[in-house]
Amino acid sequence: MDEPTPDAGQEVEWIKRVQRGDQEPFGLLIERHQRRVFSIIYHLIRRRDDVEDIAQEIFIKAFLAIRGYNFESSFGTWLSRVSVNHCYDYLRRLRSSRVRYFWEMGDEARLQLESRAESEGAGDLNQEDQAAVKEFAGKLLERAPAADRVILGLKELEDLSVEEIAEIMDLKVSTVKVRLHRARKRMLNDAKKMQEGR
Amino acid sequence: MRCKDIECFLEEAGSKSLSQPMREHLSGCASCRGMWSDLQLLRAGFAALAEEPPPQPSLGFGARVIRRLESVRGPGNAAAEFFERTGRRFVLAGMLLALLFILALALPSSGPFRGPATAEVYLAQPEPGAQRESTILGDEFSDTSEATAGDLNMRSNKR
Repeated sequence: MDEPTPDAGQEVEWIKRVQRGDQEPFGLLIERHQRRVFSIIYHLIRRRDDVEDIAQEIFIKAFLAIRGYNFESSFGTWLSRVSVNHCYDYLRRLRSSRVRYFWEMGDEARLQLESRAESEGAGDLNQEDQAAVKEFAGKLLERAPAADRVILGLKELEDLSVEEIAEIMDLKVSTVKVRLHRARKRMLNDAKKMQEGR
Repeated sequence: MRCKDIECFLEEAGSKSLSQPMREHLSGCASCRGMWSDLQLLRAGFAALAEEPPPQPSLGFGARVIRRLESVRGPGNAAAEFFERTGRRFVLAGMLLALLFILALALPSSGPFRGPATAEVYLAQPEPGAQRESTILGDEFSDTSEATAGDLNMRSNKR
């Protein structure tokens, strides 16, 4: 996941200085990792307007917790873990404050997608169809439980391997596979419910 | 092939082409065919979502975080602040004790803040009036309170 950079030693030095209470090198760490953090937040939370605020919270959290970083994994992986945990908490809060419902698509979109589901595959979709399936997947993700959303987001949107997800989430590879399978299954059931109009 | 067996294969197959036995099963099983379609649909949806570029950090993002950090307690400051606060408390307590000690030494032995020892010494002293009476009455009635009117009369009769 994290490409070994030629100045990895320099990064270690920056981290050690931050651990000693020096704020200045933390700016350099932000500079180096901010794009990755933004990408994780966007793919897991999918609220463009909130990404920067959440990223700020994540970096502050990381700064306050950096003394606990023991160099076992790369800093990028550790920071991704902080980001994923923060996003998970955010999604859980968001979900608990929201009324749950099964159906939120318009009839037209629903019929369109039913016809897609009947087709052979979705590989050769035109632009319009792509927008429809994107909306469909986006809404399914939004309705999914926080844990499913995080693991599917990392796999399907961040395009991480099962091993990388296991490292970030501090889980066994087999556990990640089982969780992914269950999350997909729940999502497919939900998709069926959506198509049935429930 | 049973439906349960094919479920995992379909999930892992992704966009790859399906094997002949799978195709045969799908052509005869509406449930699995539906699942395959939904999976494909989901995959296409996820792929489209993944293509969306995430927002980029705005100019000066890092500087803003650092500025916010200044108002938040840093990792090294917590311990330092604790010791500083505790040390300050020790100094204040020491100063208070010293002040009390100085006050105890400097207070006069009379006045409203007299200590109990001073009061005892004062009370133990015989009253000047009582001394005079004992001299008049002799050693028998050293304490005037013990001398009653009857005793005095008896003495005068004896004489």
